[in-house]
Amino acid sequence: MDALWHGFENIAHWQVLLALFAGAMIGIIIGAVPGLEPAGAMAILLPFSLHLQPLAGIILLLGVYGGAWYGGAIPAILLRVPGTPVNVLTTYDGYPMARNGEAHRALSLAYSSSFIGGTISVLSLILLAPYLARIAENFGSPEYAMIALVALVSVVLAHQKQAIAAVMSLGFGLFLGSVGFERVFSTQRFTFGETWLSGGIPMVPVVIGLFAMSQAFVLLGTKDYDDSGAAMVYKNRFSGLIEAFRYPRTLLRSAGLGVGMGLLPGVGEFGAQFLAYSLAQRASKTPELFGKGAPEGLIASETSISACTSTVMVPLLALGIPTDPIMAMILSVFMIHNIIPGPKLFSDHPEFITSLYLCLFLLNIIVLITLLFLTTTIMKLAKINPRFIGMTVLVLSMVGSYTQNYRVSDALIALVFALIGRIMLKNDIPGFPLIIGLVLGPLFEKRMLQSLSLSNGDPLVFVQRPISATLLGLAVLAISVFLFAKWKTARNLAVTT
Amino acid sequence: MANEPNADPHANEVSGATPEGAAAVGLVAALLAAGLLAVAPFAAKPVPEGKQWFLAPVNWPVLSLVLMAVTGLALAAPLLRGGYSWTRAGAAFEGMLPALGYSLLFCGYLVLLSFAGFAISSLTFGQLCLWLAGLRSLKWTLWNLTFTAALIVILRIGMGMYFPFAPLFKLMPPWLGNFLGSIL
Repeated sequence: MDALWHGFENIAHWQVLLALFAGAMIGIIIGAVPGLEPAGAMAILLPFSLHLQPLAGIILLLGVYGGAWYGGAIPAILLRVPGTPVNVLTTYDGYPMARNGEAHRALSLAYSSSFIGGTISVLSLILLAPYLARIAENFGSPEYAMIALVALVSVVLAHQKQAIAAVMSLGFGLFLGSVGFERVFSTQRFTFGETWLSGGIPMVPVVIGLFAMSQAFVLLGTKDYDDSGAAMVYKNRFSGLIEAFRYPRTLLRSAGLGVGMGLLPGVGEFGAQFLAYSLAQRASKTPELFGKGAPEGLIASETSISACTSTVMVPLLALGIPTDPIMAMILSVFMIHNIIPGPKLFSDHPEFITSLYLCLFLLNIIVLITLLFLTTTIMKLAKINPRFIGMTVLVLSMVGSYTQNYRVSDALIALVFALIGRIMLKNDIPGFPLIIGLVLGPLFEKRMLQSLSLSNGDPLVFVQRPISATLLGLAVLAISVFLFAKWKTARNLAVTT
Repeated sequence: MANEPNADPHANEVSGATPEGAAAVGLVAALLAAGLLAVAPFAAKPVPEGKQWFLAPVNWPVLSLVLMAVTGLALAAPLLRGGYSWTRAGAAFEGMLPALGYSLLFCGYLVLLSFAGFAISSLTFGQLCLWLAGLRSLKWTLWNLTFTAALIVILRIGMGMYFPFAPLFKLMPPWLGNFLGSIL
């Protein structure tokens, strides 16, 4: 009860409240403007968030993250342009509904589904994170090494059709993570005597380059969006709010999938929404309506996306392991304020954790209310010339990459990765594994070396401990299942041709 | 379902991605990894005498580069075997010219930043970007001016964000240079 009271006290600080509203607003706008991604926006905002108090800094970033998925539904429904890449399935049923004169219904259905998914996600975080943290109290280096391995495997396998490209991207990320000073023998690796490389390749400029600047290059060459659908008037803002509850099974199934997928590194919103959508279609009494304006399709897509948003934090809070680039950025805010995520976080900073939970609840409410009353205004932002947005992203990227350490080299790193990101974007090479490799690589290496040192180089250390062995088994099983499925598909293809 | 599950936002943004393009990128990645592997013995220390093999600082970079090289080659294999057209593979880098142009401008932005300060360099960079992108009317110049002004108000005045004092302002009378330099 004390922690709850302290939690409310923490939230009442003006910086936290401002961060809550600003994060929510920026997130909604990032989501509503096609072509902008929350990861890039968060990377740009990261240096600013480091100047705030820890809770405010984290909430600013989480606001952008959570708000963007809500806001992404607006252009998806009204323009058939997904505001963020994860809103692609929202266009399937949202846009046909809008074309049939039910834009208001589709939007409020999307908002209420996202709200329900988001709320269930926060509840799951509250239940799961302390539980996992208690288990993690018994973890040693082999367990942490195997968790990192599972995360790396999971990120690669999430890119079903581009698995080879994902491994290549991951390999590049792992290499980048190894550049710089290494602590075992205090030597430099691949720095070639350059002092600016001795601290390693910084994550923020790489994320800004890969996810913000590369996108800016695309935006600068984009023509104006077709806004024929935007003329639809958003009249009755509450009409679809209650309607979502008429599909309790779809809601719960999609939320459950979102929560579960959010826990799996790299899978997150994408895996959840596709699975939720296809299951909703199979379970529906009117599957033929899917893709033509089925409310269940819209509910499944939006609920599952938002149900991931808080559960992706479970591994970070409980184990201190970021499982995607966004969580890696949140981790750096934690670290800069000397708050170390992991099993001890819950006992050392209970009031901080309570404040975080309360903020996440509040965030969902603020975003919902904002969207219900300001959708028409936000819609106008979605029609801003993409080339102008591209220019603003480049300027903000310079600010974000340069001002973290005031090093021109950081801005140049961002630029190099912008060009790499542009090539990856054009050729369907996934960028997330690169960031995961960069972030998790050093942790994986450190824990592997610690484990092997403890066992005098005996690799059996990973199978002699039950949790470590289970995790290793999971990784091997996941790879085997994936390879078997690929082999089966290839065989079927060969038989049919 | 029209789309396959995909965990990467990039994959959904791509327009016109081809297997030939991915093969070309794979080849470049494999060559890059091979080059880095070649310099690995000089760029990272091998295992010191009397220490166990797994502690060698060179291990981790080599392992990751091998992973990158092998998968890069796997992607490039059809291209190397002649199954893909080299001309079509070259399309992987098509459309990079504008990106390189903007990158060059960005480098100029960084140079100008160290001489003229945040506001003037941002305004100039923004204007050149818009001009290159084809937004050349007075309307966009005014929008750029508004955006830069908003940035100054929010970042410099509101958040007190620091930028190094630009030499340009040292050329002005101290009372003016100090005032402008602290804001712009």
